[in-house]
Amino acid sequence: MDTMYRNVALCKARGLPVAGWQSDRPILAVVGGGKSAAQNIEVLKNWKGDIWACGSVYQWLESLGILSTVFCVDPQPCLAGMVKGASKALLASNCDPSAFDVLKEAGAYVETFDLANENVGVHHGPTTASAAFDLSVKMGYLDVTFFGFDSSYDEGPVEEMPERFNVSPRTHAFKTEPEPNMVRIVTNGKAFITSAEFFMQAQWMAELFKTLPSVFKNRSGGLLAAMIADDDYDCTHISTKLAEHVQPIQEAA
Amino acid sequence: MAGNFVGVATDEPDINGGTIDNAVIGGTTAAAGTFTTLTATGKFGANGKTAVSAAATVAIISTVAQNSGFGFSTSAQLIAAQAAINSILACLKNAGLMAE
Repeated sequence: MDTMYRNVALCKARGLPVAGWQSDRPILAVVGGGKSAAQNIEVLKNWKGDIWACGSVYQWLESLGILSTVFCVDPQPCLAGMVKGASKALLASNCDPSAFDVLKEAGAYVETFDLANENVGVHHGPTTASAAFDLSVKMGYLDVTFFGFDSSYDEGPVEEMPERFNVSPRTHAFKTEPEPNMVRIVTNGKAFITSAEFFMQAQWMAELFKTLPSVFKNRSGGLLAAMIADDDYDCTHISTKLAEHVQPIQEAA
Repeated sequence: MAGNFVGVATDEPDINGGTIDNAVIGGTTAAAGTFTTLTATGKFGANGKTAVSAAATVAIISTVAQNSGFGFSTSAQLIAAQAAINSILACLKNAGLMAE
């Protein structure tokens, strides 16, 4: 938490513009790295509005010739590598100073925003994507479509998809990262392999999509689409690594 | 022995099969219980803490997530999601885009 406060203080000292309301915003696409994003490349190439790319998705879109604004809330120093080459950025004030340094050196246009502290700031869940909902509307975007937030790595029929934690599923449309904290979720008649973090992301995003469908549209697949369609979900398995954190319930004396 | 009993009180019933429907278990005095499969359709509580989600399994993930350093539980995030929804609705109302 000290790191977060330090980052915010350093960001404020830079005097960067703060993201705010503008009444004539175009449509907005927010893009994540899930596998379904690859199925929407042509849609994004022809997008007649703004595009926010979450973290490492920026460089993937750039490699496809799609211009976007890199968008992130993560405080980790690795963000500096993800924002390289960006000409526009939208970063939470708690992001690592090295990311701001890289963008400054490149002459990028950077806007910042504060994540919610008590009730002031941008409300968010466990991931960058979760912050896009409140932030986009606070900036005046009233038609927001989310691509590539599948929130799962693998999926299949329940009966044909038992525990598959010993294989490494592809985690992104454009790369694969190790993910030890895996869970298997069953919902909407299918089984999904994902991380605990992405399960919570899907839970958060599904709630927002169902509550405000006139503003937020989902064009992601995977677990997120399933949890929007079905309120009922069960975690049936967790990976060995994740199980190390589980404590047995103590019987009352 | 099979049969229907109404208003019968006994201190040591020995039930080895069948189904208990629409009845509270441990409503006055709680005791130990062991289950092979536990399915909850309402709130699930443990050690005085209550998870908002309907699925008991979510409580497990919630605990895991907190202990593994994600710093966010499912019950906490559902409350936070509602705060985000309220914030968005307020923003839309302030902009005159939604009726009070």
